[in-house]
Amino acid sequence: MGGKVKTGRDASANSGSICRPASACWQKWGDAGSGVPALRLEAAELSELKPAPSDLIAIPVRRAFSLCVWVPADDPTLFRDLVLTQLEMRGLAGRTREDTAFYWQEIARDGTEALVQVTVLPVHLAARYWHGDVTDYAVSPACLPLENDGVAIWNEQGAWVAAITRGDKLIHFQALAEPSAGASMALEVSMMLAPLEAGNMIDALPCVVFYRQEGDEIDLAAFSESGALSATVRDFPPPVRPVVSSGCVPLAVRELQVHKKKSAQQQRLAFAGAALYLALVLLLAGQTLWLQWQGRRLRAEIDRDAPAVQATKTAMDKWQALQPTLEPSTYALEILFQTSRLLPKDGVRLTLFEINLDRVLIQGEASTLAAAIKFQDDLKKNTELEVLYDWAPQAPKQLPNGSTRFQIDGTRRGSAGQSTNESSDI
Amino acid sequence: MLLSALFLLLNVVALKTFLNRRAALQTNIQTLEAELMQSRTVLGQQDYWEERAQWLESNQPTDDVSTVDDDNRFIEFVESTAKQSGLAYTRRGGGPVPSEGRPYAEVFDASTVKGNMKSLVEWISKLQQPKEFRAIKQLRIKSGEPPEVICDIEVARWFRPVEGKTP
Repeated sequence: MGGKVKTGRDASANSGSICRPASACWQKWGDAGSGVPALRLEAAELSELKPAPSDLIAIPVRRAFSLCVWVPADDPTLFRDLVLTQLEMRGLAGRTREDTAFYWQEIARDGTEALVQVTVLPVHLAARYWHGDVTDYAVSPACLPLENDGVAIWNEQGAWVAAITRGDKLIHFQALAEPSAGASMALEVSMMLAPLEAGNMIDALPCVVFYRQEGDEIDLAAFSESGALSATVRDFPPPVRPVVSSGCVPLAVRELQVHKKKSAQQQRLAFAGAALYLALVLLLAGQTLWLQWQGRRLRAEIDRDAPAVQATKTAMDKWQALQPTLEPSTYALEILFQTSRLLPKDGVRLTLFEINLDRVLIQGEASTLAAAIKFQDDLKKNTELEVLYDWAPQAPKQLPNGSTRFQIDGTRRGSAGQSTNESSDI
Repeated sequence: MLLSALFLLLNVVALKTFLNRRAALQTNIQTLEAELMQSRTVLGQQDYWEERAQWLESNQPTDDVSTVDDDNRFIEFVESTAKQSGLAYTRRGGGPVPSEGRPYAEVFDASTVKGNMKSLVEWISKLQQPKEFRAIKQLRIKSGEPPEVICDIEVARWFRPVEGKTP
């Protein structure tokens, strides 16, 4: 994991607070208005500052590695692989390239070579230097308004640290071993600058600035004793936020963010499932309510018409009950007439005609079997009789005298006898 | 895991209950729709049946059930018309029958008549006229000695029972 940082720092680019390490504590700086930084809180531990997600955390110099190197390429897209190769050669890379948290900044170009400053975060950065909610990190010198072409030295969490700039760009930083600002420290700084100068990474011996904080004892005379370096002292400046985020977060934070993202995704899925379930329950409940409402509506409509329907049905029932006295087509004489009309001139005669309110039974004799069957068929197919009765002809029987006896039973349509399918015997 | 199983079980039970409830509601709606359709069909014939009900109200005879005068008049009518038609009339029974939930009460006469077919037809046609509310409940015509036929008949008069004479 690595990213490129564009140059430049701007105090006005302030979208949140900056948590930075000071000489003996952590400080939280915010915007007092109109871009003026203001110290809001000091605490012994970073977590006590309660960083917000939009805040930036400045990682102490002692917890990061700086590497300045010329890379033989003028194509910035190759820088990442080249930088990673350099880190692997120096043992600064993690187990895999993805497990390496770093970012780089192009400082200068010389022909086909580019000078690149790389900041590497340890694989196992201690938990007291990061916060799970914050995703914006930078090494602490990147958050200071450093002098151009200079060396800045300040006390950070009990130890002196130095940062070197080429032009306005941070080219190197490191912790100093010397516990006090004196001649020994000047020698150490000179030794730090020597390989940079030899590697054509800085132009000349830069001026040194000490950033004084409360309680610092700086012996400028002793530091400048050798005459190699001249030093000045200034107050420790408020932090500035890099214009562009480094895009590099400690591995632990990255894992935490991935975990959070997964959790959020699972939570979203769970919410979506719950919403779907709720919607389904509401849909089913709504359907039930709609069916109930529909049932009530139908019942109300039926009840509204019920008196008129009942009165009409009563009239129908009464007419139906009195029908044998009212409808001439159902009179016994009419049935007898319709039956008699079907008799041929010769060969068939009726021997019994029996009728009641529900049934009719007709018996007769025919000279031939064919005549008997024909009469039964004619009776069955007669239009006037068919609408009144359901006919059931019996099988004709031959008599000893050669004639044929026949019988046909009729059950009045809609009568109780027809619905119960009782015997047609009268 | 246990909660998931419990949740699943509750859902299965709830779904089953819901499906049963929905099926019951749908069946109820189908029944109600059929009932409504039937009601509308009946209402579509409302005018027709109201007219018939009014006709019945105006034309169905009323008999005073507190006396037997009307019954006797009917029985005498049956016997006299049979004889007038040239039939030999033999009374087998008869009398009043209360309405018992029917829209009419009745008085009936059961008899056996003998004669030729023409006389019988003439007599039956006298008995049964639409506005007279007489019903032939039972009729059995059997061949006798030609040209005679034997007829067992049960004829009734259906009327609206009232207490006392109507004005």
